[in-house]
Amino acid sequence: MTKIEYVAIADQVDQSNHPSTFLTKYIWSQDHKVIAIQYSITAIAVGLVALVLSGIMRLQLGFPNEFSFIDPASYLQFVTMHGMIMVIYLLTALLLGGFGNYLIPLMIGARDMVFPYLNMLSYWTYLLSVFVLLASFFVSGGPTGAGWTLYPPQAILSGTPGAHAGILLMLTSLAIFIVAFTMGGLNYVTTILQARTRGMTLMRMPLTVWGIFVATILGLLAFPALLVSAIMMIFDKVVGTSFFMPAILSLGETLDHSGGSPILFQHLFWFFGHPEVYIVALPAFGMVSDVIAIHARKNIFGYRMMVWAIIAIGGLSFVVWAHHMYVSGMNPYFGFFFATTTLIIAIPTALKVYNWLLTLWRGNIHLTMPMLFAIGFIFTFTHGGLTGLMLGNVVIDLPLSDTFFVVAHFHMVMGVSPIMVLFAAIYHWFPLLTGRFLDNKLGKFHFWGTFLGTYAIYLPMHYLGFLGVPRRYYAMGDTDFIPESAQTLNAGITVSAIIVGLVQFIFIANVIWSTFKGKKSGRNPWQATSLEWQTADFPPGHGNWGEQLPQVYRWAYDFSVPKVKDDFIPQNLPSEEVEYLTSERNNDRGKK
Amino acid sequence: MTIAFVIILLVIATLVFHFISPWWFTPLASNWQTIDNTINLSLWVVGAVFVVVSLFLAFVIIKFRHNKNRRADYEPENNKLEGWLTLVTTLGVAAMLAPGLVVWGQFISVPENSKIVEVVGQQWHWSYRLPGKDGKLGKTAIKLISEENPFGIDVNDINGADDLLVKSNELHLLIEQPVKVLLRSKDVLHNFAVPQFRVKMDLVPGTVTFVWFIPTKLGRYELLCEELCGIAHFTMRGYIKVVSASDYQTWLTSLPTFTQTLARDTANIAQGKQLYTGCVSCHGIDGQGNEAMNAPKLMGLSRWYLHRQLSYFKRKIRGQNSDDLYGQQMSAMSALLPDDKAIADVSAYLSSLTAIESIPVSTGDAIKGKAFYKNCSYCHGEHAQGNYAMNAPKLAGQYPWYLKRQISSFQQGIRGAHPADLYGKQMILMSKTLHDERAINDVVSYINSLTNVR
Amino acid sequence: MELFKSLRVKPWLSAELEQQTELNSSTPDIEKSASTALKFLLAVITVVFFLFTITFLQRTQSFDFQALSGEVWLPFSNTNMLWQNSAYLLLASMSIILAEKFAQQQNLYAIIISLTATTLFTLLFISGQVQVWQQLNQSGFYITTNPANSYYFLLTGIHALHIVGGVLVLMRCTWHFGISFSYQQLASRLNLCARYWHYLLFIWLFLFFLLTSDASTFKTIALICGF
Repeated sequence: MTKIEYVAIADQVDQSNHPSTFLTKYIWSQDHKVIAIQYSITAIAVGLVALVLSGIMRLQLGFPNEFSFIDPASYLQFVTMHGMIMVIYLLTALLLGGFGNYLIPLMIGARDMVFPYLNMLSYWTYLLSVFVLLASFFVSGGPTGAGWTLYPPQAILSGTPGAHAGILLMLTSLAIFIVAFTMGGLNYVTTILQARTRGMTLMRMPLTVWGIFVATILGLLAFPALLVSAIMMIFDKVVGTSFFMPAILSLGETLDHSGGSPILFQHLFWFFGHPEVYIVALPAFGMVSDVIAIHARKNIFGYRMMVWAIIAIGGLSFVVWAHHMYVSGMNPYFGFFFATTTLIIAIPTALKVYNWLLTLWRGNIHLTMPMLFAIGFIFTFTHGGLTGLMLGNVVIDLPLSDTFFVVAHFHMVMGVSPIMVLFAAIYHWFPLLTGRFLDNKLGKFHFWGTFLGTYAIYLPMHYLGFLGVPRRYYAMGDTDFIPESAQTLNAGITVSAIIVGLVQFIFIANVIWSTFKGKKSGRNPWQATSLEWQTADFPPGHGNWGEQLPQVYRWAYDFSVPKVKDDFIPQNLPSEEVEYLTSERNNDRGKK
Repeated sequence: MTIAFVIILLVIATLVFHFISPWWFTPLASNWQTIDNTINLSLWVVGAVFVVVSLFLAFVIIKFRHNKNRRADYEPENNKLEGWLTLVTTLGVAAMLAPGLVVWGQFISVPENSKIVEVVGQQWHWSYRLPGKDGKLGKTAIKLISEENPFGIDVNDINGADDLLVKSNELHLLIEQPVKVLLRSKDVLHNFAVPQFRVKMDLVPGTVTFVWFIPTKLGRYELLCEELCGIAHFTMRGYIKVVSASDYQTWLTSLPTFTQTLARDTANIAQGKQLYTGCVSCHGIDGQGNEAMNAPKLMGLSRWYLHRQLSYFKRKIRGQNSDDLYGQQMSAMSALLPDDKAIADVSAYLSSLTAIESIPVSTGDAIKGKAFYKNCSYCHGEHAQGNYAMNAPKLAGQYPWYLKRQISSFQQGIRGAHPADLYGKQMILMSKTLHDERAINDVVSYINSLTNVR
Repeated sequence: MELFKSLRVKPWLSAELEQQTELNSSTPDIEKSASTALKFLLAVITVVFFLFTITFLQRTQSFDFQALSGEVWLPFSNTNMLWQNSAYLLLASMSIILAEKFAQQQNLYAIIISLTATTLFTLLFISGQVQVWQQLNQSGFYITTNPANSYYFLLTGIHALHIVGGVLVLMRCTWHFGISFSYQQLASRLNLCARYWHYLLFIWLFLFFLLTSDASTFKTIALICGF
């Protein structure tokens, strides 16, 4: 192993170390690109499970009492597993394990991660955590139905489905996931800090790398909170300690606990849970910035501000967690502090939106598939971010907390928006993986289905929240304050959700078809400047770069530079080799 | 290009949807107009930003769409512009935050003249406690909770003796009287939420939380639990009835004090036996029931359940639906029991009888039924033995035809729909998890098979 | 400061670019990388123990908390056993520095002796910790009887797990050394191990202080922290 570690990051590639058998090349691979694909396939596969679960939930909500296989217990179990899988096992794993792994070494000009063996171990540990998680579907009592927040005491008491084997498997799986993430995360930050190629200063890194970098640090510092709470909850359940368990009844029986604090768990959980939002959002911010710049043929507007905003958002994300707990019964004075910090975090976030818009401004916008998804992202993220401003304002949370308004908000901002970016990124970087484009016709179908479909799901859902429909209700029954028509609305949402779900299978089909039969893209099809498109082989082979590591001469956003012949200058092109226009056709009003 | 027009259309559609939508907050019934105002203010601000940003996005896409003959600008940054944008955003954020914080300040300072009410949550019921004349609530502890003392009040605490107990899911509040609601949970997290009052707060086991408001409109409002509390979370409903001063007094006087509830057990089994003679023609000598007379088995059922049902019949809470023929009969027959004491006696007598096991009759697939019964077992017990703490009667040993009829009665709202039926609504919601006749047969068959276990 | 400066660079201006280009001219260096990764790992572990500590301090103020020292009959009014364990861990930390020195001097026997000493002292520490657990159990201080006991078992257990992890890594280092006989590599790896051991020694001393404090100390801490 040691030998490979040394070789992999050395300047010269030792040809004898190329993996040769199928097993070492595709299964026990230490190549970051293969690991990235392994991560992505696993994450997407488990994500499809969660997608199906959400469809089942929607069937129950849209057409209550029509489907006999959904009972109150399994409904809660589906809700829980859907949430947990989507947030942790899909989004976190895909954005950092998948895109992080693939893009970091290529974008900063490294041959691989600095610890390839650890990287491989990270993936296999992640896979183990997925198996442990899925195993809970097959144990007696089924998976936990405690909601993805896993609040004790109910998570470990008999009144909740899956309160025995299910919750223990869930907590164990999370602990294993955190170990996997820590191994991967240490690798990502170290690689970014230590393995950048010549000339790749921090401020020359593409924003994608910045987003992944800060998100990884957030993950490293935030996941321990989840680990700590998982360990303590396992102790409460198995050993019988009272970390989170006060004196308590369970279905009429007095238990032996005393003195523990359920709110303590909530603090720990959200100390992880809020940064987790940004662990997902920051890489998405980074990637969408690059997609927008490349497809609008314009430098990202306010690069420095974008970097600072990423860092500021990352830092602030650790001091806003209790805005999830305004009505949790915590010290009410916390409300002032956390409402203020929460609304402050909106400022750097808003700046990022402005800068994306200003990047498009006076750009030359190619409405390619990645760009469509990026525009979709700006729209949905603006919508979701703004409703977040409402919920963050502590008193508005009083009537809306725990209603469908919250569900609609976080799906808009944390579900739809990052997924828009994920699709933008997949359409954008797919040629780099395969040398082929994803099919445009199927892509259009996929985009419109997803974009319009999700909006049709989540816009009306906010209004269910205004009505006061609580979340995590198996059925509403008859109530005075909810009109009959709300059920029609629910049914409509379900129909949209089913359509959106089906459309995703078109995407899967597109990926499979295009991998083998897609239109050949040729080198650097988007005419991007960043390093990943400038590799010796295309698509990049093992070791990424040919004989020599690239040398970086400029930032990643030299698009449409005045007087230059091409409308982009790759990062590794020396200034001497840049070709200039002979005639002065271009004015240079933009130049500083 | 299409995308730009779609975005414009989406903005228009959103606005249209917002303004014509019939789905909006239910009318306010408390003093928290300020919360509604803050929401409206915020909604205007964020709505305006949404419209401006989205339309600007669409405009930019149309204006700067790809053109072979044009080159994009080169503009790395513009500090002045970004500075202005930051400033404007900050001002907008501050404008939303400031009123929010002011209202929050009101929310956490309870007025001096507010009256105390305690709301107790448990899986999956509400109950309430009011201080007696002394204005103070007695101390409580989880370990003191028992069948006789469901609130877990400390007998040695003098303040607790005159506490008024509401072992029902309906609480009455006096209109225009500020009320500080103390929230206590016996088991897991719950949440006290009445959409009409706007405010809500979690009930946290191990500590007492609070929320305050002034009810301003007469009416009966639904109380919902809005913090996931287990399988029957969605059935954890209660009612808050806002009443006038005179009605409130009447209600108060009808409530038993803690001491009274302790001293209540005066049931006389012998007298109960006497009274029961009027019932034997249908329910049989030993309360074994009779299918021909449509009379269920009563022997060995818990006292509290029999008591509750008998008084429902008597108070015309059960057996009033025109589709409930046998219920109507029973409601008429309950006139034989002159008062609450008589009901208590009969209930005590019947529950003192040992149940004779009847031979199991298979009505459906017990193995499938077991899967359905999982949802019932949380309250009725793994062996259908019933559970006082969950207010769930024993089901094991009861005749299948009776169980089937009751389940479908619940499903159709024939039983349990009366507003005063405390736990009927819960059964209506839960019974709907059995989707067809077959499912009912299966689950009944399983319950029936449990007779042999105990 | 250096960082802030580099974050203010305008990367599109070539003048500002030149100064920075040199910063990163060398190819990545595995020692530096490992050192960076270790720093982040220690940061992660710090967060874990920090969060445990916060929850513990909050819990010390609950009504049912019974500190483990302060009265004669409490187990940690006498901390000899724990001091002894601390001494083992200290010796382990010291011998691992020696091993690193010897590795630099390429003194094979001295390396073997000092690494054996490290392993031995570390294992003595762990067995000593296990003995303390047994003693606690024998005298009726079970894990569930009191939050202070729960935290004692939990925190020392997590700490011991970290030590065990360290031992495994140390074994891997010696294994690789057995194959490659590269003294330079061994020295650089032992350097990392030594930092890890020192860090865990520090954590242990902190836990020692924290877990054996008496009620009045907790009260003071809680007051300072504002619980």
